Amino acid sequence: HSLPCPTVPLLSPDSSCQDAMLSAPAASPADSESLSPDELELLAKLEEQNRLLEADSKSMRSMSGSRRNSGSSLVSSSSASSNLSHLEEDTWILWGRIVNEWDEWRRKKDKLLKELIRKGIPHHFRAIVWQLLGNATDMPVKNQYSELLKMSSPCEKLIRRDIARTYPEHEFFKGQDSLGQEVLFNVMKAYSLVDREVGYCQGSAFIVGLLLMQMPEEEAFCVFVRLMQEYRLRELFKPTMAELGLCIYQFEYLLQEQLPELNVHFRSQSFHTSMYASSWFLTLFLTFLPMPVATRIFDIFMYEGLEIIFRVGMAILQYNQTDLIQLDMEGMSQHFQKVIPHQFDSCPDKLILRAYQVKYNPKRMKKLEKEYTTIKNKEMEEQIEIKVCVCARYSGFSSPLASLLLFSE
Amino acid sequence: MAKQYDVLFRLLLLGDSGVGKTCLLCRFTDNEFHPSHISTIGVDFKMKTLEIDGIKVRIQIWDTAGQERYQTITKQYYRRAQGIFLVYDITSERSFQHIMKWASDVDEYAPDNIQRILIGNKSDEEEKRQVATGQGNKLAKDYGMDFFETSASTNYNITESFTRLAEQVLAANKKDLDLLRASVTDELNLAALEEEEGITDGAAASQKGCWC
Repeated sequence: HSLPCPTVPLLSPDSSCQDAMLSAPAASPADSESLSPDELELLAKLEEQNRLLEADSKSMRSMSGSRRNSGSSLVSSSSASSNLSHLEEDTWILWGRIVNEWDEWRRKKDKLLKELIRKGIPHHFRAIVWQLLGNATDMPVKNQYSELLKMSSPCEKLIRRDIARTYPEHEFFKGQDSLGQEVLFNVMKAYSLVDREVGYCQGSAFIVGLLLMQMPEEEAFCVFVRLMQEYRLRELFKPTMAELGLCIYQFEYLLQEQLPELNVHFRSQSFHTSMYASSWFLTLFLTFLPMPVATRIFDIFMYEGLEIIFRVGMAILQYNQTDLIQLDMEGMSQHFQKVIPHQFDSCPDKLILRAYQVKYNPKRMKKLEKEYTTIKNKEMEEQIEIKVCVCARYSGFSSPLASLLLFSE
Repeated sequence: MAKQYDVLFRLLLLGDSGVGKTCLLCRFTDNEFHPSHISTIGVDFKMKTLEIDGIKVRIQIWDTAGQERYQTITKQYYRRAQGIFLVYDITSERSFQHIMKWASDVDEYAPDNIQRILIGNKSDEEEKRQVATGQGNKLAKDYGMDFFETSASTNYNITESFTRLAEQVLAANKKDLDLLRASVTDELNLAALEEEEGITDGAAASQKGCWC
């Protein structure tokens, strides 16, 4: 089949998307070693481009303004630097090649591809590259989409209630009759119909919203289905939300292992991991960091999965450790709400570089998963035991009373 | 650094998704109303200091995601609260019916002496009303709670309801309060006290295993 044209995006995500390419750090040493001299040269070029872009970012930001459904080229005509234009052109040619020779790149140049993605997928290629990474270009479920829209879903009311509360500040989603709100509702509803167990879960609309900023609704739907099936998201959003508990458990392990002092401080202040990290996992930083930074993380998520969320989370804590340790619970909460989200606005690469310096051992994580499952199973057995006992004794009472008896001394 | 308050405790906002919990909180703590804020994912909190009977009361108010499945996260916070707002939306019959479910969850997971108050929010949207004031009153009476209809949008009954719950929590902890009045200590952390008790309770309970 022929690939969709990558140069006609639905719309720009926001005015400062250019930030996405600022100041890329050197490739992580472990990964660069296995790249060929040509490939290293290419990466060096990209770095040069990022550097120039950074210098040029002010004018870029002012010219990109708020653009909707533009489909027009973002290549900067007013760019002061002709070097930059050349480099930018090179990037376009490169990503054009990657997209057209996708299978070959995945087979033969995967390491380089990974490095390139970590440096940020150029905005206009995101739609197609995310679809390719998610293996969502050719899904049978796409043909059902229009049928699904004609059906009604039991989750409709709940979805409706959240639509205006998803990216309310974003141009595309502003206003009750906006195209953004309409397509977001469509995709959430369609998904709730193909996956009755999950139905609709709060938080997931932010992920779909991001997809919709890049691609038409049918495509966004397909990518979302893949994310749910293949990227652990389904487990996160299931009615038990069991995977979230696991992620928190695993994250706490990393915290304890790598930032023990901060961990002790959090505990002494009753500052629970779930207070700040729940939304990190559930919305992949989309409700925590500004769009340009969160989109960069999402690029990597599409390729490497949830690991990047752990890495970025740890990088953020490590970066803020000294400040946090001096604050009490309320102060920390303020710091998380007001300070941290904007620390990396002008330098998302700094955050990403730090994220790759975090130690992350997949085997260890797997082991923790087993541990967690054992603990949870045991807890469940105990609960069932207690409930059976109580029910047998107080079967004549209504349930609130029974629970009162259960919990009083 | 000396604390700027005498007593500290935690309140929790519970209720269905979209009833206006976050708006109530923003109105109370910042006197702001944003009809378009994002939906709460997980838990969030804000704080404010009130003065009640000459006592400076610091309250931390926890805001929660309303969707039922989020209780896996939010339940952990019930145990650590001294007061709970049960919030419904007067334009949503369903959110009112769910109050019973929320109340029974509170019975199950919160401490015994938790103080509760019933809130019917969005009272400014009279033309869309589905729950009569009388219904709210009756439910509150059945459960032995105080009841307020509020509007975060017009700032109606916001301070009143938050202050009332704070007063109730103070009254329920009168013993500790009298100690404070005698003023041996310069500060009283109800939240921390309760938490310590909670931990010992928990440890004792787990040793006992099955209660029958």
